[in-house]
Amino acid sequence: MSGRLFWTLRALVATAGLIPWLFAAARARPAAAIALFHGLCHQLPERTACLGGVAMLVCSRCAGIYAGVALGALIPVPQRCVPRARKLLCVAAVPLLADVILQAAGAMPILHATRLTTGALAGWLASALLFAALRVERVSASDVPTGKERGVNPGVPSPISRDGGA
Amino acid sequence: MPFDSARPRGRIGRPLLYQPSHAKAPVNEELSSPVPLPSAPPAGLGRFKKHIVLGAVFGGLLSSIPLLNCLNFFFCLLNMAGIALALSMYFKANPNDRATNGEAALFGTLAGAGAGLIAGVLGWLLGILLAGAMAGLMASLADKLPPQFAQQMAMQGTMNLVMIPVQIVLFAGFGALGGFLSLILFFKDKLRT
Repeated sequence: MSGRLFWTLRALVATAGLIPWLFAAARARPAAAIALFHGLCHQLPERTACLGGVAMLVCSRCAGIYAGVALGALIPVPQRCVPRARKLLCVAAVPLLADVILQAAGAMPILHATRLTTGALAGWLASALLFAALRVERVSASDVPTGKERGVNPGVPSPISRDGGA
Repeated sequence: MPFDSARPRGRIGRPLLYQPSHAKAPVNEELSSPVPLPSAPPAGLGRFKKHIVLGAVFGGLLSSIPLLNCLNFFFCLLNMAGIALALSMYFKANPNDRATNGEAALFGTLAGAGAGLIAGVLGWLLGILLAGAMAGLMASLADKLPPQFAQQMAMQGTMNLVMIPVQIVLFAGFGALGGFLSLILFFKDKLRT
């Protein structure tokens, strides 16, 4: 993956994660945005955090996930975590699922803090692992020597090639 | 004279000084014959083209179905499911091919952007249809459609259209995650390192 593509993807993921927060920062709740996010989140008022007296477009858990995804594009995990990506994702999913189950069962009150934190952890880890993996690929791709570095002259056909041997 | 074992020998053991013409011929023939080489899988994202479109259609259509789209409440699940389905179809069709994390992420980004476009356009069309039905209902209840209502409906339609690029960015961003997560969670053996 080229450097430009890598940075474009990073910007895209960060922007996608920031969208509901940008609406919240602008204290805007246009009907079309509510309709758009209604397809992505239940938007129940008791589970939605308010910023500056205006309810966000998504619930607090989704807001956490979005924030985490944006943060992961900016702060990736160390590259040595990439081989353990599956385990780490499972570990990050445990508090999220525990929070979902406990709140749905009524064993725990609906707390925006836990919803935000557990969502942000899962979102951050998924996004951060993606960009760490892409960085590992970029580093390993730049380690492979090019033809010039190997001392191969691209203008002269190799003696073992089909054309050169005939 | 040192013994030269590499040279071909005659009946009395002396090395032959000439090379018979037929000895070399098969080698040249073999080299110059147009033997088709086994076709290597095409490199680059172009090989995913068909399945990216499939992923976009799956994700876009699933996200547009009214009650089913509740599954999107968890991490854009339908969008990601569309991408995972398209990836699995690709690997089924090309069992020997592998993909890097970057390729999977780009696959997901493009399929997600397509899904966002399809879901956005379908949502906009559905909105127009619903607004038309509402306007008809209002007009049948009252003699004349209130001008504010008609204005609001028109504005809603325009805003839905403006939101399509936002939806594309949203779905593309989560699509990148979907492609990457699908590869590492479901197709780990297909990962090219």
